[in-house]
Amino acid sequence: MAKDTDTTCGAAMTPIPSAAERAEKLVESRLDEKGNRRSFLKIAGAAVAAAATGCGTGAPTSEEFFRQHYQKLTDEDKKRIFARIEEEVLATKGVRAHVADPPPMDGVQFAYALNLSVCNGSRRCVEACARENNLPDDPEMRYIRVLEMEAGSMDFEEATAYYEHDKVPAHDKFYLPVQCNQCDNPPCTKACPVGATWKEKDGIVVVDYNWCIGCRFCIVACPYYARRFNWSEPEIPPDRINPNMGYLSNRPRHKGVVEKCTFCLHRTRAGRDPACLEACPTGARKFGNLHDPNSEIREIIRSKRVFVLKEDLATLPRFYYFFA
Amino acid sequence: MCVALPLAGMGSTPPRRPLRTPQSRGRATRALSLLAGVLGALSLSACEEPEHLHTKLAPPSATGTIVILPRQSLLPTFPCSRCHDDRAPNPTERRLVEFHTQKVLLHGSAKGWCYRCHSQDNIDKLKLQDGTLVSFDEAYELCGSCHGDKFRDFKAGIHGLTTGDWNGDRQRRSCPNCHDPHNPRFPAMTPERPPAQPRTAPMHAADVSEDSDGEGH
Repeated sequence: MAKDTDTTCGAAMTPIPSAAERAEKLVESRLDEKGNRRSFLKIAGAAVAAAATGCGTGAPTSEEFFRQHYQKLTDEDKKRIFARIEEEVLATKGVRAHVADPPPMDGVQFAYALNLSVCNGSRRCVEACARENNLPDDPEMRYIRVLEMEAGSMDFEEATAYYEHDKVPAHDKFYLPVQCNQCDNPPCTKACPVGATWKEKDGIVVVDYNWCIGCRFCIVACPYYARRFNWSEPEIPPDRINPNMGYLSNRPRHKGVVEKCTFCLHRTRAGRDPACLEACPTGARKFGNLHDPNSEIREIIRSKRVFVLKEDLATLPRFYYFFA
Repeated sequence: MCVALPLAGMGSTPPRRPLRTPQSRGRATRALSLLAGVLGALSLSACEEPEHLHTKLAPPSATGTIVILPRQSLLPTFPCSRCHDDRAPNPTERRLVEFHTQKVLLHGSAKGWCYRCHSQDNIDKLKLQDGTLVSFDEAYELCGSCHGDKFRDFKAGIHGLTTGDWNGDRQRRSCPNCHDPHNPRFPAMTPERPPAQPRTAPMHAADVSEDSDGEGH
């Protein structure tokens, strides 16, 4: 490595191209790439014809490219779009998917609680989430990170998500899973310059994957490292596709957009539990409606010493941790 | 008022009546419910609060019931009486060499003998400290007679594994479904693989121009 550095910095072999040259080269190479947004504009006429055939290059179709913001879609638009997504999934993956956009339920405010005394760091939630939400393995994307920390400490600087053990829980360690906190005062939605991410009525922060421009401001704004970027076209094997899709949650995404945990809204808005909760072997995860005085989540907040992460940032998370 | 219920949590709010405890009902009632063959299935939605309070607060309440999954049917050698009826109970503490040789008691101080929890008179039942017999499906009552704090959380749905729908029917595991009563520590598990390490960004301009993805920056 040191040798390489020397030759490059010494400029003995090749001169370093100027920033302008590099930018030009990059733009040229991008324009030549098949299926790029710019090339689409360039050959828009041809693209319309190509899109009609539903060719699965992974590039956004012209319909997607000109699609309206989710909140401005009429019911007819949605019907057409959902049918189109289902067609595309069938064409590219051979899976008969069902796309829907279940609306927030009246009188429901979702919240999550996690019992740190019993979480054993098995990462079952991480994998279940990946399967449920159609997250790719290559490049690997996971919404949940399980942090391992020294017992008796709460030092996030020293925490690691990359622990490897034959058996968990490891001696003298405890585990703290982190995912989207669905903040009531979310910094991410404010950072978005185009309004592609917002907080829904039931508290879930969602992303319109077709409105997102991929600037990643929201990723920087999130204090919990809860948002993920599609650095390349997500590849999911057909047998791993979850056909139960929500337009604002686990439907197919493209390269260049941001996504995040949505409390599995395609499940939870139908009354089911999130996938991570269902997969937890220890019962550490609790989910429910804050407005229901009889719910487990209310009992936890009432009777346990709950805390949230980075409370001092006033993000007002909906994700509570407790020891019980 | 719900407050009067010993199970209600704090304040006047929790009107639910999750699980019945030995204190909350008489022996006769409990015996009746046992006879009825209720496999731990108890409705949680019942509430004794006056109706007008509900309309005033208009709380959107989850519908559905919470069922404690039956345990007895999972026991491979049940009924115990099939073998034990042929032999007299032996309350002497000793090492078992003939049957149940795998059973090692690593619970608490590890002192005690089978008949501290199993009934000597009716081997198909468990015995609470006050002598009441409960079925294996109600083992949580036996566990709860020592582990009061966990039992309280269990009844409130805070401790223990509950699956199902947050807004519908739910199934809860009884204590022995996760904790072997003879060795109650939750078994260690093999974790799923760790996340991929982040890719490092190219350090030099030359790398950037060669990088076909151009995603280093």
